[in-house]
Amino acid sequence: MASQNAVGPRETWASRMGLILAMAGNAIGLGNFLRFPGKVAAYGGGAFLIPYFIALFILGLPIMWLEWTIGRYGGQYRAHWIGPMMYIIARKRFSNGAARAIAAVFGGLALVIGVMITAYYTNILGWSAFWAGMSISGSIMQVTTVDTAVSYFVKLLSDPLYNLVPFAITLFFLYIIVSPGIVRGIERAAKIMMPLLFLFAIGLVITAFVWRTPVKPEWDSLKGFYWLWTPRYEKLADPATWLEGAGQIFFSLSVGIGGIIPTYASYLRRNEDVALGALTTVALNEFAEVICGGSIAFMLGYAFGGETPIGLVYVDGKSPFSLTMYVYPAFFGNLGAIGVGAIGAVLASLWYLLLWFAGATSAMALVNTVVEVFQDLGVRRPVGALICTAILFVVGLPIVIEGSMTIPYEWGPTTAYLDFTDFVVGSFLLVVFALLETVFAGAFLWKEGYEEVNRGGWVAVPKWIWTVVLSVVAPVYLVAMVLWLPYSTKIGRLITTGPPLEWLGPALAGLSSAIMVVLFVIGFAITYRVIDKKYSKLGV
Amino acid sequence: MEVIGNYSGTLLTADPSSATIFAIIGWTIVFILMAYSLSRCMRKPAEVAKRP
Repeated sequence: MASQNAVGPRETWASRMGLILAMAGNAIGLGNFLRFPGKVAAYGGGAFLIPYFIALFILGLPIMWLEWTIGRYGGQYRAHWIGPMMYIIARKRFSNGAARAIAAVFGGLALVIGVMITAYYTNILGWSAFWAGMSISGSIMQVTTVDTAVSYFVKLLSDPLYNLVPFAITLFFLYIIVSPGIVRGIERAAKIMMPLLFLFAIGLVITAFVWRTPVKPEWDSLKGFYWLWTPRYEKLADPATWLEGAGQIFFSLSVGIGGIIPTYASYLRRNEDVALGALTTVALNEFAEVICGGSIAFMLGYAFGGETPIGLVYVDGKSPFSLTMYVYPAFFGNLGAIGVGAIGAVLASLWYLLLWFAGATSAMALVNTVVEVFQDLGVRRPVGALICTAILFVVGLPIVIEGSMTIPYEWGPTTAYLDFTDFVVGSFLLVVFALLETVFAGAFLWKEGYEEVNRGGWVAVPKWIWTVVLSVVAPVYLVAMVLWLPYSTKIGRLITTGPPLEWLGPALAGLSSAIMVVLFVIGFAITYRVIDKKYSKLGV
Repeated sequence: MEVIGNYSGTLLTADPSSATIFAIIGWTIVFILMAYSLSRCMRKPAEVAKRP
């Protein structure tokens, strides 16, 4: 129950549609269109849907409800990022000192996750922007073989200037969107970008089902669809399938990502619905993932390239992301050879813009959260956005540069810094973060949470979901994931660089780790300071 | 099972009927989620508040 010191959020969403689109934009990212089909392919085809949907209902949706609730509750005290929000919640059961320490851990993790993920995500978006630019300009028609596509991508990775331009443009766009604020910046951008994203995705799905044999009669896109969804039941006996199903739900919904969902939810008014809003966000995310993501990559891949893309993923263990960056451009470009080059350029534009929009709408939520940290220190929003952009530029620079360090060697440009950061922050820390949320804001330590989730709700969240599923089952599942992730990931292989630079990969991983430690300490200290200056006086 | 290709000696197979069944199940769950949540979202708050 909010005390009379609650004053309401500093800024609120202008419309419900804007909120839902921004939240959906936050959830829908590259993972929906690239990671999901890769996991389906690797972990049982259609059978993967069993662990996937079970995880959705016992892990994804309850944590989504929790994060919306934390956010709206904190927003009433003008707490717009997870550090102070968790202080306000922890203060219900803990002393001031203990609550401050708990909040500071959340604050430190939030800064690490927010900055590190955005820094590499904007680089990846830059690569999508590069291919989008090639497609829109028609230059992709020159990319007619996979070897040509690979050489373009290697050039992109190994030439810092080539790499820097799309990265910087993407950062600049994010600054332009986030700087004006919630209504004039983020909500407006979401209302433009999200309908376009769905339009592009649906257009590509329809193309995949209608234009079935564009290259060869035997390369029927439906065969790609059938291959992906054919159940391979034996995979259900592998524990990895169950944990990967949960992992996919987790990363896809963007829960645990440094409190970006609570930050968006903090702009809700006190009695505005969170239960239905969270459910709608999940539904839109699933549409983008299961229906669009489960159709586009392998259907178009098979129609344009036969068994090659499927074999690269299923046999060689490549990710659909790799395919998109250095195999698919050749498929699109090759359509020129059969006299439909313009269609190839249009489809390629739709695909790479779709990926850019999906990633950018997630990245702007991340940037917004970091900007809120600076605003809590009294910095004006445009200045906070500028500082944030500068930090992201610096932290993302190693990715721009690292490929060039290994140009002379035949093992190619390294991505050790990116891969290591992606694993530690983009996989492991998210699960740790969500585990801490379910413990400190679950039914045992924040009893008022259940009342909060249903306040003003247009649908009712059953009590057993809060007390049993969210507060007992989900933490157990998350502990299993925390143990599983380091075990299942070959970290050594992620950071391996060939001779004579064997030291480089570990050095880049060390640099990434050092930056994480510094960010954690800064986030920890900022949380302590703002609680002392502001939130400890609220009398919560 | 239908062979849809051979990649480096590995036969890639698909079963259209069971694949269709699983795809339909997945799509149906998603459409139910969307229909339920979006239909309630589009109602006026006062109408929703009258629910039993």
